[in-house]
Amino acid sequence: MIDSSAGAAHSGSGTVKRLVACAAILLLAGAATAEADGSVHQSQRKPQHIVSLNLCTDQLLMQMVDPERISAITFLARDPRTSAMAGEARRLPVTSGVAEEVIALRPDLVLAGTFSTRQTVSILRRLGYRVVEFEPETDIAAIRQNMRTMAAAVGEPERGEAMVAAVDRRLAHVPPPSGRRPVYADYDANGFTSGSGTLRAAIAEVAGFQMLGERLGFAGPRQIPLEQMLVEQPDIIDPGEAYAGPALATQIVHHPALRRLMREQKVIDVPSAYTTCGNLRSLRALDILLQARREL
Amino acid sequence: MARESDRPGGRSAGPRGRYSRAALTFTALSVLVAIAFVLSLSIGPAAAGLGALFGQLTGGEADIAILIMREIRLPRALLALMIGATLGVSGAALQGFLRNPLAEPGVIGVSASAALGAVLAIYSGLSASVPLALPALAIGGALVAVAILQVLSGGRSTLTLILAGVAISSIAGALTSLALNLSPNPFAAQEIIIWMLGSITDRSMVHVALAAPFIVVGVAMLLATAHRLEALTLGEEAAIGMGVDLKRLRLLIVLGTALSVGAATAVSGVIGFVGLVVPHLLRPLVGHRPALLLPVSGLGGALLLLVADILVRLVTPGSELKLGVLTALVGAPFFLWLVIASREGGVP
Repeated sequence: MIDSSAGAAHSGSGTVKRLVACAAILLLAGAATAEADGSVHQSQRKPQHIVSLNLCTDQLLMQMVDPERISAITFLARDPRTSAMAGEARRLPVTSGVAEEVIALRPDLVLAGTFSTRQTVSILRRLGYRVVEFEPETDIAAIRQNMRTMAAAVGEPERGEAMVAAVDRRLAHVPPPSGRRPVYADYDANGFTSGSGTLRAAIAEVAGFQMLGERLGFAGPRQIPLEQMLVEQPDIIDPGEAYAGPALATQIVHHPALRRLMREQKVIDVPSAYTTCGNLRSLRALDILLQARREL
Repeated sequence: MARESDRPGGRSAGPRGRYSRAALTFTALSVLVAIAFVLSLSIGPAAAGLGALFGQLTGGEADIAILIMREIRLPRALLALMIGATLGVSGAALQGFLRNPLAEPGVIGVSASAALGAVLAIYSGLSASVPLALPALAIGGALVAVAILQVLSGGRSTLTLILAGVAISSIAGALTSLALNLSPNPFAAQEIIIWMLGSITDRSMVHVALAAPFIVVGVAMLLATAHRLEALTLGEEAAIGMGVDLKRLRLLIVLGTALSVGAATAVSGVIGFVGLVVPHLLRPLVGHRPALLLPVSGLGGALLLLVADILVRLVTPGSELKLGVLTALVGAPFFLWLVIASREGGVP
């Protein structure tokens, strides 16, 4: 039903017609709900006006479908610090994830993360839009899972399987870890380092490393004091990328004690853009870590 | 403490008793400061105790212990010592000069203005290219605030001074927040809490070197006013009669406060109430004599901040409290009590 009213609006050119169409969407929304809740596979036509509300679905979507089918991604996808596809994202329209913006785009499929834009998702669901949600990718299995979910949602199952196969091919070529697992510590702004249950830890494990946070026995990212960093002496230190503009949070990298540690240990840079979300570009993080392991 | 302040202890004792009590206070505080300093060095998340440091001076482990001591804990302890002393001395000096029991760099907005200067220096990127810009701008901010207060507090009214302080603090706080929000760095906006509540976590010797010269000069200027402040307790006329140059005294107080508080705030953010609480607690112990109160308040401030900085590491390890949280928990109720006491005309 939404599809049909969206079509009507396309044929019209005046503001009035668009307003009428919008009103129609609102009126029909309630009736459309039941249909929208139907299974992903039931949709005959491939969605042509896809809106993504989450940084991670942004990137998976861009890797899976032609740009013409993407109505909008999030503004976050354009930030090279968090997005591995900032360049590609600049060529697409973006939203800040507010329901009004999304409705104005008349999407036939909305992709969202389970942890972001909750209010928007609930409004869109109430209005009858088809929303598919994705868990954050915190390990390799979740990457495969989300690739398949996305492929089914956008109607590109072959492309999805090809992407999963690409991931598996790359993993199959990783040399098996031998001997002691060297310790890898990221040390980002405010002294945050990754523990278990993060995508970074999962990729580091594939590459034969142990995250410092895992060794210290915590899950997720956590702040650790500079002193602890010095005591632990991780084999590889990843101080994170420089940020635009100074802040105390990022000045810690310049602390003389950390500087000295970084002179003594190996320093690498696995951009957080590769590990914030799990997709084909995350394999680049694996490449950097494997390179580091060879050089140790 | 309240009772003690209501009934000044020194007045009943003879001059000899007064001095011996002051000497005792001096000695006791010095010893306590030394103990707190050593404790501060030996407490930290790395569990690199002093034993490890001196126990195995040959191994690699000792190497790290020395590094932690020298580069992380020593600057921290030194900063607590210097900043605490600054706040104690400047609080005592301002209270004596303005003859106002509520005067203190935090309460009257000097610290907040210094923090604004420091924030402008750091987040504009200026201090990255010109390190001295950090203390310079903070001192500039403090100077502006002290100058405004000088003009406004001419009437000697407690209310005027405090209201002016509230206004200056609010403006400085708002501008600080604005400056942080305009920064392109995503972490900058959250750092308002560091500037408002103060912290000396993970500072380095670079910070010590930047702040120390200004703090030493500023505190020395304030200490030099001690005897003149003592004459001032008899009233302005009497002080002038005793040969006190009020203009010179004002200049010393203004510059000394701006230099020391400005440089201290530049590396730690605003740490409130130390300058308020310490002189009040110690005044009865030194017979209400500014000449003794100033140096003793310096020791007391250093002790209070060293202890507070040890506590923030012990109370919530992992996610350290900000220093100002502890000093405000102690100081704000004390401030309230002072307000009530001054309303009843019973200001000590």
